[in-house]
Amino acid sequence: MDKNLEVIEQVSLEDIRKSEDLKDLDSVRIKYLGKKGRIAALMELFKSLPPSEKPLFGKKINSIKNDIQSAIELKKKSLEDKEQKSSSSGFLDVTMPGIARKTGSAHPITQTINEVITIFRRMGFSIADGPDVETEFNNFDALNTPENHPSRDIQDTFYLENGNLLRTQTSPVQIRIMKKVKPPVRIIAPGRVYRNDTPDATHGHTFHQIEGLYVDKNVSLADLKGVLHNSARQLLGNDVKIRFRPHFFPFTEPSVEYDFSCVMCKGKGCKVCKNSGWLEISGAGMVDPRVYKNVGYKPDEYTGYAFGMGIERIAMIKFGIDDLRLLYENDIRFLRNLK
Amino acid sequence: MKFPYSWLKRHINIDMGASELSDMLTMSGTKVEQVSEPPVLKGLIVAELLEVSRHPNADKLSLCLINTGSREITVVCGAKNMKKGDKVVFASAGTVLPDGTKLKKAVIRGVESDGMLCSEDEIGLGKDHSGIIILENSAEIGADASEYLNVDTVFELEITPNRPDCLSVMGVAREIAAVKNMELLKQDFNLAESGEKASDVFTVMIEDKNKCPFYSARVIRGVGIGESPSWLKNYLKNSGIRPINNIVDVTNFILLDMGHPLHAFDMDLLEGKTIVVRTAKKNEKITTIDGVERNLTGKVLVIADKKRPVALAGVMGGQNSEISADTKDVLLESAYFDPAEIRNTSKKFILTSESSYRFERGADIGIVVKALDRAAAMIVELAGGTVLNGILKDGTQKRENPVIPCRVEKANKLLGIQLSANEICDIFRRLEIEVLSEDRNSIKIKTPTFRTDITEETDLFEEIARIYGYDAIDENLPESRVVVDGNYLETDIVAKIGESLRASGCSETMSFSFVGARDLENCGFSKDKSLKIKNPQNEELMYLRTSILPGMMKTLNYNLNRDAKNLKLYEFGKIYFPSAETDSGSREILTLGIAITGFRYDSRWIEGSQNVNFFDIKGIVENVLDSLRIKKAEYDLHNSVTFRKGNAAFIKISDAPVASLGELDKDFCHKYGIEQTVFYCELDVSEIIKYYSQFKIYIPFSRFPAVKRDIALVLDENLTYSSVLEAVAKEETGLIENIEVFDLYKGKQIPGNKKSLGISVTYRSENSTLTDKEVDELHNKLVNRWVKELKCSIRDF
Ligand SMILES: [Zn+2]
Repeated sequence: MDKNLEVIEQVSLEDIRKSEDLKDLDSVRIKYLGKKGRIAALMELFKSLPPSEKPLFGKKINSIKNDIQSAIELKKKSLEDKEQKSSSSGFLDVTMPGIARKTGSAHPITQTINEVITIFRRMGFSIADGPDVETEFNNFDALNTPENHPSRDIQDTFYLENGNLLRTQTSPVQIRIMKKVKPPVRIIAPGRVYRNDTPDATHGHTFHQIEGLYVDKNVSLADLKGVLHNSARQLLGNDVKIRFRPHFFPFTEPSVEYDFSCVMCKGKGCKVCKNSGWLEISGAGMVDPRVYKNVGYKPDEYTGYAFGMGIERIAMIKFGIDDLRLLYENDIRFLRNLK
Repeated sequence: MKFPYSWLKRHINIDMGASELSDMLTMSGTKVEQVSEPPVLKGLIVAELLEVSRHPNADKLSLCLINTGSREITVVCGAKNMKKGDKVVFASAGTVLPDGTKLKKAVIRGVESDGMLCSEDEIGLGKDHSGIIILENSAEIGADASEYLNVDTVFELEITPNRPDCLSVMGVAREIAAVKNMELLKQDFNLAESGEKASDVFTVMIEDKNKCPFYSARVIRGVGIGESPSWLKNYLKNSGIRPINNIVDVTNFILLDMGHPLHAFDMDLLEGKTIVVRTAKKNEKITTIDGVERNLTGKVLVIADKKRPVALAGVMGGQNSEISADTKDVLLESAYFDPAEIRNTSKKFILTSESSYRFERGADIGIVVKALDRAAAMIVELAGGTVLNGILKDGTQKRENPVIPCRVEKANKLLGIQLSANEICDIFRRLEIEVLSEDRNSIKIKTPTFRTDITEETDLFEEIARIYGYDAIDENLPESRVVVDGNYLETDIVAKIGESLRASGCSETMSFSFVGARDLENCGFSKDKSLKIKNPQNEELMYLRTSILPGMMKTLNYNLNRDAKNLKLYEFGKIYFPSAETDSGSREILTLGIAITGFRYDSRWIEGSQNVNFFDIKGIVENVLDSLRIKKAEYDLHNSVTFRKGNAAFIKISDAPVASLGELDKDFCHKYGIEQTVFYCELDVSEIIKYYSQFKIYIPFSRFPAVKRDIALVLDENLTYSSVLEAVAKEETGLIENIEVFDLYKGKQIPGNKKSLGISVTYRSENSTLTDKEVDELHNKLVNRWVKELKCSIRDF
């Protein structure tokens, strides 16, 4: 019996010595100290011994167990040391690139739309949508556009063979919403619009607009100014100024064009703003009562404002893009550049 | 509209700098597009040509002997338009021209030239380089030539279509007067009538008084046709109008000065000594002064004499009655035409003129006769002759201008300002809007004849805002009622999908909604089931896209051609189909396209240079579905013209197809010039939104340990992994927590038509620790089911 114990101890110590790595060592540990290991088997044997032999045998088992345990601990430490040394013995080039999937980029138009949407959502605007293919009624008639207005010409508007047209502005969404919902209405409607313009650095046949509309009791032009200025500050920085210039649109009265002060030169005048210190953004105004009549609102009960915002224009200002065509060329260098 | 500053100063006494005036005009609604400042001219002298002779050594050059007042010198000149006695502009050697060049003494073909005679473009005054400048004969020899030159600041304005009253120098001055609260300067003139009664010599008659409510004319006899004085020519040139002769120039001057178009006929060429304003008869023709013969079919309004049309009413005169060098007697026309009528004529002949531009926007009927009289007086002044007694006219100049009420409170509320009735009335008076009555709450006004755009109360509100000044209106952030009419879902979901795609390494592109017939054909779409543009810009932009794919192919091609070979791209966009169910006749579906090609890994130095495959695009799509918490997507083999046969799938959710994905067909790729293997997915976003679960719900997980068992199944190559999973689902013990494939093997160690799937099964109970024995039993049962149902065998490692 004693000899048996000795053999186990020797073999186990030999096994431990021969272990080449931590994995080997672990299987040695299981072999001797595991639930079904050699020591456990000895414990079974111990149970069957006569009481007189138990104390001595128990002591010996414990001592072997302790020996094996401490031998394993010792070996483990040396193996760990060795492993660490071996890995740091080679030169680690910390400048090699990390392993990662490079993330992609959102299109600058999407980035701009999302930013504008977020700004207006914070001011309580909801998002509305309308189709790209529109009726002439919604795109022109309901918006009080005269029968002979040049924007209706085929030189300006794309017509479909089915008699409808590609919307030239997001304003028809105003009509769709007001026909459906009673005031208060406070929406923005982003989307694609189309005009029969020959593409160049500042024109394209396709571009994006965001339409804004707020109709309620007692909405004023001062509110419009406040909301647009607030959006300008969030878009382009706190010191951006806004100005209204009188203009003409068939569906607003008064109508204005609004400008943001030039972010490039801080209003001093530069190439981007053609030395005026101002960047033309888009049109806005108070909804013309004639439009209310077209959608069944009572003109005397409600007032409201509407505004447009050219997304490409904003994107070009924000990102310093000088040619509109870059936005639709989809050059991956351009897209990643504006990640 | 374009005009020089000095002309404006004839109407209003202002001395603002050009940029200050520009700002003022822009901010009150007359936007200044451009201000052209004149060049600074120094050292230019008026000289007299004493003699012109041929250059001895050059046919194309002349020698000019000039008197500069202080000396007589000879200069070499290349122009041909001068003659002895002309007053010319001389720049001596040493003069610095506006473009910065300093003139030097030069020897030209052997003759010394001590300076030069200037043309317009050489001194930056215009583009004319056809000859040298010939000054008016009264110019004083030796004087500073700039006094006689056309040196002026020119303003170019954008006039909105609702403000035809601003299409004149006087109109712009009127705006300034309103804003600055000033008076206009009176334009006095003296018209002396004499001789016969005009009506004894000539008659005018309107046949259609709806189209022409008022027509007036005067007869001027014995004029001398010639050039206009240089001040007038310069005014016209600076306004973008070519001077022609003193009669036509006067009509153009009045057009620009007062905004009212006139027309002058050579009276001797008018047959029957009569003018009839009528619609054209069938088969009538007219050759307009631009030399184009026009067929007058349709209901075109013309000015005719006894026999034939002599002008397209309000648009352009005819050659048959044009003023010429021989003209002696002039019939001067001033009329008012219906705007819609002129617009029709202009549109029909695709012909716009300064005249039609004003009539179709709405001329001022109130100044028709005044313009006529002023022009007649000016013609006599410049061309001589006598104005016969009386005005020839038909129709009425009277017009009932609308009376419009203006509520004070409403105006203040709409604009967000606080003006009293009195202050508003003051604004109206400045705008020449007549105040009929006024109390604290309400004002009644009548518009002047030149303001055809003011028809309703809101139009008056705009006038108040304009003159009060938009800058002066305070900003206000509204205390607004909460509005609950929004639906953010689509925007938010699209944003989520975008985030997922970008995390998978994809970048967003954006292509046009237009495609060509070839694109439709390539993708297997019928032209009849697509929406066609009636007036496309070109063939490639003739249809509305029915898939994101063609645009994506063009994007891939663009980038592959620029050596970007590893691409992961996505695009959101609408696709369009005809529909009878919508008012717009289109069904528009928000769609997502994803394309990947090239290497799989960015870190190839450690991960290797594998190319992407089907499971890369599938993984990207799985992540997208995962981001929307959609769990029940099913995949099935799919065939279409765009995908490589047997290498594509479609995705169904609750039996509805939502996407197709796979390897694009080689031939299809070649049609877009692409050689590389491309994997593509197109996903119906509007459909997928329906399965989005907005809410996340916590499902409790077991705290007890798991037991894993690995196994390798050898099964028929054609058996799918999903059939392996289906068998698992039939084990209804609830103790199988997870199944994971860790190996797929085909090769020597197993039969050729078989594959080996290494599968790791995780067992776990929710309420106890599973014993080895229990797990052995569960695992044996599962393996037996697989063997039985899939007819597979177990592979030994
Ligand atoms: Zn600037």
